[in-house]
Amino acid sequence: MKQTKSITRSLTITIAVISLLLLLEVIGIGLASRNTLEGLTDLHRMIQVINQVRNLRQVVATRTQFLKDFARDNKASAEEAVILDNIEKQADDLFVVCLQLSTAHKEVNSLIAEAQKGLLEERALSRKMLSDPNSIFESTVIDQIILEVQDSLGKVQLVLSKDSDALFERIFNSRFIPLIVAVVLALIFLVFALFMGYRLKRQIDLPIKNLIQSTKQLAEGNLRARATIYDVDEIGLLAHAFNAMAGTLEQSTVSRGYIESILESMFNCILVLDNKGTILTVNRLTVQTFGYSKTELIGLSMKAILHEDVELLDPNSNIETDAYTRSGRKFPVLVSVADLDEQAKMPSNLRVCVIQDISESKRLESEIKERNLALSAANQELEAFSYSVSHDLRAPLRIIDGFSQALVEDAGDQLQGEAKVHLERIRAGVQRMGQLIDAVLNLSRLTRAAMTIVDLDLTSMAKTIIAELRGLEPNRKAEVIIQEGMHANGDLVLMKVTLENLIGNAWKYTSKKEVAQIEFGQTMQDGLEVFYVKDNGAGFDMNYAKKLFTPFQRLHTQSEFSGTGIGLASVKRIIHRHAGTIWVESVVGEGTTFYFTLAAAPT
Amino acid sequence: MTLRNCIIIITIMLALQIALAQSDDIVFIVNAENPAEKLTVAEIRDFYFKRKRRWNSGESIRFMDRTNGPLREKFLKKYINKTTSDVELFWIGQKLYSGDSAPLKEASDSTTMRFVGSLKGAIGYVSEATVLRKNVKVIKVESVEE
Repeated sequence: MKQTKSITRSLTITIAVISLLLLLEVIGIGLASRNTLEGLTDLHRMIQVINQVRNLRQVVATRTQFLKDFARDNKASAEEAVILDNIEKQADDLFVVCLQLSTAHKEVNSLIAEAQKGLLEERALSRKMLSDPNSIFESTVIDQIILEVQDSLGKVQLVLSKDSDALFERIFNSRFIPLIVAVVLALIFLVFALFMGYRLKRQIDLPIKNLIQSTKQLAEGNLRARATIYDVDEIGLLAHAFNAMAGTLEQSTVSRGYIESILESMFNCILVLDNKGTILTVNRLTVQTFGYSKTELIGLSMKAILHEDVELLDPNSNIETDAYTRSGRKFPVLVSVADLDEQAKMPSNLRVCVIQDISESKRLESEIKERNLALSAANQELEAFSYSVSHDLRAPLRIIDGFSQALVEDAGDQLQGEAKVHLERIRAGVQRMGQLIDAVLNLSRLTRAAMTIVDLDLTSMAKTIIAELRGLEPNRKAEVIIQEGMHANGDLVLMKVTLENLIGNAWKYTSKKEVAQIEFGQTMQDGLEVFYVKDNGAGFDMNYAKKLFTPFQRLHTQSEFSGTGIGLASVKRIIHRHAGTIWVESVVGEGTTFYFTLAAAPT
Repeated sequence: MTLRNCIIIITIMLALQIALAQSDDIVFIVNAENPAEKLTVAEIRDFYFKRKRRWNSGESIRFMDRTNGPLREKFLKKYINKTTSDVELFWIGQKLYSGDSAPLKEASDSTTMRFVGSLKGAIGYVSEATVLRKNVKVIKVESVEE
């Protein structure tokens, strides 16, 4: 597994290494100059000893001179003794100093010690010779001992000079070593620092350049631009974040190519115009539609291809107008213009013009109009025909009815056996036919009648109908529930027919129940106001529900329940004319519920 | 120094010269307390050049030379085997390189004897004819190189 690298870590390492190198350099210089420094200390001490020995020799010589001078009379006076004591004290002090300074140098130390010993011997001798009246002051003896002392001290000087010379030579010879060490270490340090710096630069440089390149590409609109991730360090993380950003950008932003391909693939003509109405860009369909080449179109004024002045068009609205192809052909178009700056939120003064060729839809529209006209003409003819047929049928039927009535009245008693029954049957059939014809006439009338939509009080209408029904059959036991306060918009006459039919049906089909239950109410279904008429009547098989609203389709025989079979067909037509729908739910033997909606707007 | 003294010294010196001229031999004297009985020429040479500094008894050897004259010449010739100038050069060299000074020089036999008599480790040479003091003794030098 690759270890996570980090530039911060690299930096820290670099700084640590450089610091270590600096420390090494300091230590190196210290080591290199240690010998020199120690040598200098030794040299200093030697020079001190040499100086002190020189002083000592001087003091000894002076003393000897004094001694000889004072000893002329072979006796030291008190005054002379004090002077001698002083000088001797000085010499003693110098000896102590010299011995202290030269402790490290055994040879010198022993020589000085020897000199001191000699001097003490001489002092003892001279004191003896001076104080003892029996002995004579032998200056040669003093000279001899002093000579030895001076020789010892001279030797010290010689040895020290020689040693200090050698030491100085050594220091002098090695005087460049600290400098050389410093320079060499500095050079090594420099090389190391350069190496570390180069490493760091390499670690940063390439990924940064790559990242800059990718950023430039992204800025130029190449949303696919991605940075290469070289290492898992801070720049790597940055590159990763950049890639993530570019990815999000690519998903959320559409590239130029993407937009162009959308424009090219659109089924409308798209034109980008400047503020003077000059065409700047068009899509392929524009070229195909107008018959110009793309280069011809670009730079052309919109006035050349469009009847309407684009300048005057209301933005963000569709205008129907005419356009002209290169060959001068005129065709209907739908034009809409939008300001680009509104969309792109930048002041560009550019407008996008969308032109839709509507010649085909215009053609279809007119075709539909024609067909509708033909259809309604046919419908009217049909209705007129059915009306006239029904109307014309009624005259002969009335004749049959009237004369059969006359026949019954005039010759009813003369008819024998079955003949009278047959005649009654003929009459019944004639009357039934008359009812059917009336129903057909009513139906066609309902279809054609003009509607006046007003606010209707459905509750009171229903109550009136129920009251009428109760008046016709006062003996029937019926529980009628009518919801209070039901209102709807509709045509008074037509809605009265509807309610008469629906409530009448309920009344009719509950006739065989001991206690009829009829309910008229209002409920909400799927956010719509739905009215319903519910009964506990005969009901029917839901498989035949479709047939129910078709004219002359009956689910029960005339003998079971009387009726023309036209009522529900009329209801359906009326509801449709009120822009509503009607449907039914029923269970055989348990009852039926009719639902209907009304959506007519008041006129 | 009084003129009389000078005259005496000069007279003595002249007398010595005459005496030395008559008697060529020199004898080595040491302090009477010195236990050494005899020396070799090589030892004399070592003593003179300060190559050897102590007697066997541990006493410092203090060689007393003589001022230039026939006696010294004889000493140098017979025991040291070097000319006067050679010796001078040698001591100049010694002074410069080892720090040793040339031995002190005395002019007369009597002062030499006084010096030797005063210091235990002292050694000097005098004319054979000189009458020795009581606190010095002659030390025999074994063989003289021919």
